[in-house]
Amino acid sequence: MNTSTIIFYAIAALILGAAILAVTTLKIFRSAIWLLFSLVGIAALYFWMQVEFIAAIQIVVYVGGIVVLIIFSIFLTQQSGKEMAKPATSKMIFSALAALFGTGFTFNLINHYGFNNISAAPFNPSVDEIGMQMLSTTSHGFILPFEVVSMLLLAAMVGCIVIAMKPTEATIVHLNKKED
Amino acid sequence: MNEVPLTHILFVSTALFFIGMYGLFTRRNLITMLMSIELMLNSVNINFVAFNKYLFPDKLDGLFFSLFIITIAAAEAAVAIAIIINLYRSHQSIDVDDATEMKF
Amino acid sequence: MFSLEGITTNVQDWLLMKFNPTMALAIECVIVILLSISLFAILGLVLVLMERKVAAHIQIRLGPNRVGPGGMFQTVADTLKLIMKEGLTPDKADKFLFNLAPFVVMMVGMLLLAPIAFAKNFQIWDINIGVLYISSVSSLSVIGILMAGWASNNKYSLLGAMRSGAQIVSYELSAGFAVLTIVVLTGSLQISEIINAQQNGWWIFKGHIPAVIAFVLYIIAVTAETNRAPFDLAEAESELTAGFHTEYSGMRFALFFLAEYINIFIVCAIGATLFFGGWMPLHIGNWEAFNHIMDYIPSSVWFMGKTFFLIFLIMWFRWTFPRLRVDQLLNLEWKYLLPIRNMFLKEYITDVLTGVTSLLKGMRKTGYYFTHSKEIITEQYPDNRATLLMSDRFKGEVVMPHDANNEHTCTGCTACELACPNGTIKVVTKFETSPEGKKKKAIDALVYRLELCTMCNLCIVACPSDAIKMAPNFEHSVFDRTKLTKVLNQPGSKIREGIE
Repeated sequence: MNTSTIIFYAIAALILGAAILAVTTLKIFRSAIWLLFSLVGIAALYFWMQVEFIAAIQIVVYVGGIVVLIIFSIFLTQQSGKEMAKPATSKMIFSALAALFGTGFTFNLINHYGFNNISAAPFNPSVDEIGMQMLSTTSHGFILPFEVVSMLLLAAMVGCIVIAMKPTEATIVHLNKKED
Repeated sequence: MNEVPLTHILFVSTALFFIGMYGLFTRRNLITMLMSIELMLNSVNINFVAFNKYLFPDKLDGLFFSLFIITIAAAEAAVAIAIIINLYRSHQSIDVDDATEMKF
Repeated sequence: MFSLEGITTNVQDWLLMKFNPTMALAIECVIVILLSISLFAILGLVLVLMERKVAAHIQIRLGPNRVGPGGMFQTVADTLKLIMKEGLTPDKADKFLFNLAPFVVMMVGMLLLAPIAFAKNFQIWDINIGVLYISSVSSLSVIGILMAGWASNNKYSLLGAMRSGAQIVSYELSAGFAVLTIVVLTGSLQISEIINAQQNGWWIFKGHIPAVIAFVLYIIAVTAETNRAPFDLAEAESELTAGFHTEYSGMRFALFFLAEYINIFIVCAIGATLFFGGWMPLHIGNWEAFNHIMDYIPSSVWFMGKTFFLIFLIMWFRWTFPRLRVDQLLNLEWKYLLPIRNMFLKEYITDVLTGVTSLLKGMRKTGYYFTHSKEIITEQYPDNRATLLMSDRFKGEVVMPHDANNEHTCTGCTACELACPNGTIKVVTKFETSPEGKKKKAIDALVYRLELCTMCNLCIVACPSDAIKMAPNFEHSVFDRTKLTKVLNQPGSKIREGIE
């Protein structure tokens, strides 16, 4: 047990504990905050694995973006101080059993496979390596998915605006005419 | 190199995935269901990065996959929240049990 | 020559010599924690005082000047007061999150401290994604504000938190782009490399127009990100009481307050690092002698000087510009700061130019007042009571002047009593016999009730013999209300000869 291992188990406990609280608490805003802690824990795990770039991206996108979005939608749709209804006990038991079975099954698989071909080479990619390979057009380049993802983001942005936009008088009249 | 074996990281991500699944099964509120899905996506990301670090340290493909997953998760969350807001406007509730008009 | 350079290496060598590596790491952690906490405390005290002094000088006042020499210990006294106060938690609030929120905001500040280089080789963590780390962690601070807003269970808090969230999320983009400019110029995200790249000139001089534009963008965006005026909509007093910290009191409020100043310090430190070279002394091209002289100034002094210059700039903004409306705020970000509108390029450029010139005009005015402290018009009131000059037109109370023989000119005609609109003055008359045996009307007492007087001056105008007048006296406070009812003629006074 050296410092690094202790830190790993502490981070793992933070991630799993916060995640369990996030899916079981009945106050929806607390659920979002526990999710936030879990995501920060995952970012810490990336820092521990020395992939700082992914860790920073994780914090920017998940914590600064998605959790803030979720909190905003909670602000817009929920009332402060209210609690959610408790799920039915039978449902809780069956879900817990299914989750436990799945966890045990996968643990078993991982344990048996063992992963013995671990390479001892150091893994410490610099940001410029990541950038160069991301935009390279040679055999291991990721330029095509990069461009496709940019199109996906554009489509998602347009879609969000169209879905969430309040229909104006004119469009309502137009739609009614079509139905007639 | 640190002494934590790869399997332990995989245990963490597996447990995280099934916690997310448990949440998806028990919750009936759309926002909390979305949160559970985020947890599951994150467990997959941990796997990609861990495999890349331990098994193929000379390549970067795992990192790119997790980057793209993060990007797509962001787009997915944005669209999902737009749908949730719209549902709230029409039903005054974001409970999945309340939106049953299309149910056969 | 004092400098922080190299102290860290000495400490680390000594620790590694004495203890095993794990123990040394733990001790280093404790040292860093203690240093950063004490830095926070000192910064809070200094910056709050600085803010109040800058505000006062811009508004031609003196500011705090009672506690300690020149008011130096004012913030210490304030802190003591806040510690003594009771920390209230509202009923039906989410107590756990309510108590957690101020600590989240503080923790984000502490995390941001890690990659800042305070002096040459004096840095907690020279992480290889330095700038990206800063922009990612600073996006966490919004969570604390949203938490405080929701947990208070108060509509003002909630609205303030939502405004703050929208503001921080959108202005982060501009700040990110401004930072990216410097990253592109340097070719690295690491703070130490960004500083080293400015060895032969700071980026604000070397980077020509892009760096200057990026600097302006950065300053505007971080002012908005730290919720400072003119972008302090999250706590706009006139609309939202106090925004997200309406329900906080005592030490928890102090933590929010402190976090605001810590955030200002951190964004200014990063701005100084990116655009003004951090601890790098001012070097000009090949002027060897000049550069050599500049090197003699310690690097920590350079860093602190630049950071405090930027902090002063942001305070100057605060006391110059009025607060924006919500729609103006979002328009500024999404229509002016972020894109250059290609379609209306000419219109865009004229808009920006007129905007910038009008802002500069305002700043010139306030800057003039700041630098001309001789124009300060604050009165040192209780100390200068003897020399205090009141203008004649100031009306404080009605008095009856008496001359050296204790004689006045009031005939007791009751004209003032008749003229008074609300019965402030009451004339009690008596008849006294003159030596010739003639009976004559004279005043016994002129009763004046100060608590009723509206200083309307009608009695003075009505008096036929100029017996009463208005005095410029304003120290009227008493503990007993009956003391406000005064008799204006002095005991034993007589009417002057020859007044009928």
